[in-house]
Amino acid sequence: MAGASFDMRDKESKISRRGSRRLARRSILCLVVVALAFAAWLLMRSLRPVDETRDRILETGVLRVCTDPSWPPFESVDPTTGQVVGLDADLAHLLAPRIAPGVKAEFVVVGFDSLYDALAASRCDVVLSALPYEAARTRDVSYSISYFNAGPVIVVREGTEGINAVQDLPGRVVGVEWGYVPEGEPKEKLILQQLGLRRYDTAGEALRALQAGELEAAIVDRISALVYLHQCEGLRFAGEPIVDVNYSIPVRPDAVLLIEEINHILLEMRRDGTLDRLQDKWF
Amino acid sequence: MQRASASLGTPPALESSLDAIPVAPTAPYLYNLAMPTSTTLRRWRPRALRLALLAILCLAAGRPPAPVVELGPQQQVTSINPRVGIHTRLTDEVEPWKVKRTLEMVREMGAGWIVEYFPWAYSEPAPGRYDWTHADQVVDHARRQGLQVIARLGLVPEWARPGTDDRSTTPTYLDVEYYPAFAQYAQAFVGHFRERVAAIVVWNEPNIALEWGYRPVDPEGYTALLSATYAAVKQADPKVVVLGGALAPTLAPSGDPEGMNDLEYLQRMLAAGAGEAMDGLAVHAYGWKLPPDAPADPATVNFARTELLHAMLVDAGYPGMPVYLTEGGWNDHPRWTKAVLPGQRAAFTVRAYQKAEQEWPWCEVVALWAFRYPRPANSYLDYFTFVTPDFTPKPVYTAVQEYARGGEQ
Repeated sequence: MAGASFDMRDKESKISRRGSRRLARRSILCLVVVALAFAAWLLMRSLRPVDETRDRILETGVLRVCTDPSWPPFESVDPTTGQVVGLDADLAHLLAPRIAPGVKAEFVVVGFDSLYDALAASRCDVVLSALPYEAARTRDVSYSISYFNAGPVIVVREGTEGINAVQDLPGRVVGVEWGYVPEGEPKEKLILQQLGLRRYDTAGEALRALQAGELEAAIVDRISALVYLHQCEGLRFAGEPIVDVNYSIPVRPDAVLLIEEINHILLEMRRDGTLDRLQDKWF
Repeated sequence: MQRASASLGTPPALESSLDAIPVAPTAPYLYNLAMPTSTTLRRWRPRALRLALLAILCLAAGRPPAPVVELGPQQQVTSINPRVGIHTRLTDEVEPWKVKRTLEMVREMGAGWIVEYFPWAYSEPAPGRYDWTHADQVVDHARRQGLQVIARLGLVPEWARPGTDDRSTTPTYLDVEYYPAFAQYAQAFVGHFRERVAAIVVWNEPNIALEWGYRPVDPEGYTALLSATYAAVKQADPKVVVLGGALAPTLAPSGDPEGMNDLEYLQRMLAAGAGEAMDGLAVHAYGWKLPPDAPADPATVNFARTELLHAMLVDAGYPGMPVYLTEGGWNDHPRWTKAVLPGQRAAFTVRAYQKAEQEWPWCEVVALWAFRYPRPANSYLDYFTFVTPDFTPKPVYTAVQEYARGGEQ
């Protein structure tokens, strides 16, 4: 028994030694995992992009918005208050606090052809001035996703059937404003080029001619169409814009976190109906 | 060997001299494969040359021919008004046929002058290294169409700008230490385009902060730049006309950080000696919503504001100094707050040309903004143009053409 007892003790001792080794191994493993996690955290922290524009906005609580207030209904100066008003102005006021609570939009008024220079020279953090996306400028600025499509649209009278796209226009009497340049996919462009378009001095005149029955369809920019449709009944859009003229919000290319946030906010605004409500308010 | 020489076409004299050189007897296969001796090199040189030539010809034949846009025959502008001009925008136009078509249409409209922008940054990418390729193309086509060219010079190249860390300036920022570099570029430009370019404009709208590199505007500083440029340019071509100013019409109040009232700016320029450093004054004359006959008024921006600027030249002792309108005109966008109707724009534009011809003998040229953009701006700016990017004439083009041909207005 004594021998057995000794064996038992010896066995227990062996088990105990094995257990402590296992424990030691586990402890080392845990330490390694923690060290790796810490290193990964440090690495992530060092890789996190720096965005001085966003830092400045958070620090000052001000989002500086460059705009040329000569373009109603997107931006103009209210003669009674002297304030910049319009769809873009409202959008700026809604955008700022969503970047961070308490941030307010402040407008920096510059001429339209100086907007990009003002942005490049850090006169403002973003441009909100009915500015269409331009592929040629993507080396110098980062554009947000679109918040409004101002591309040319087909407008017809209520009750008109069979016109829903460019492909339905051959053989129809179509009006445009002077200076209209057919654009679109190659097939659509070809169709538009071959149409015997009637030209009017303004988009409004083309739409009046449509309303009066002189035309079967008119192709005008979506803003002119929205303004006109808001004032007059009896006309409707036929399909989506023929080409996209996407208004978006450019920032400097190094504002990498800011542009991400703006895109996120604009997506939210699309989903929650904010952009639709803004359009309804100003058209 | 003789046959080989004959077939390679070796001249007889060389053939006989080659025959005179003793050649070590070698087996035929060794003759072909061994390292060539100096004699064999001589024998093979003509063949190698022929093969190389053939290879070059084959390569050349395989490549598509470079597109060529002929200058075409010499043309002449027909117009009842020699002052009619237009600001083209060919700086960013990369397709030669579009450059040519633009200038053909300018001539067909009846304009005898163009103003075009030749950025310093494009033509001198490194100090002293000039590339006039695109500028040559524009000027040569313009000359062939019978047009006189006024060249606007500006835009600072990267090498003459403050460090890249400085984000507060634009490519219009020129430090005083680089004034001689700009003057040298202007000198090289007029030297290259001697007798092909009628006038140069030194800088653009220096009275607004944006065009002065977002620094406080500085009429005396600009005058120093103008003086340095004038002296350098006249060495290269004493006949070229140097234009100063090209001021933005603005009613900016005193102390406005964004710009200075053009009248005040010109006053200070002249006080600093600008009158001795320019042959003429470039003026920008936008009408906004007012017709060309609306009277000049220091408190209003309109076309006739030009008269106030000219009067200042007279008062400063330069009664004979001419004025060149290098920008101006009207916009007919349906919603832009400073636009007029298309019919009004056409009438105002024609009247502006008429007015300069009939009432402003001191005005050499009226070059309005702008003939055509290379691509749509998709904004109200498109409504300043006379033709669309695809060369469709707008009503204002047709109206000016009719006027220039002597038609009734």
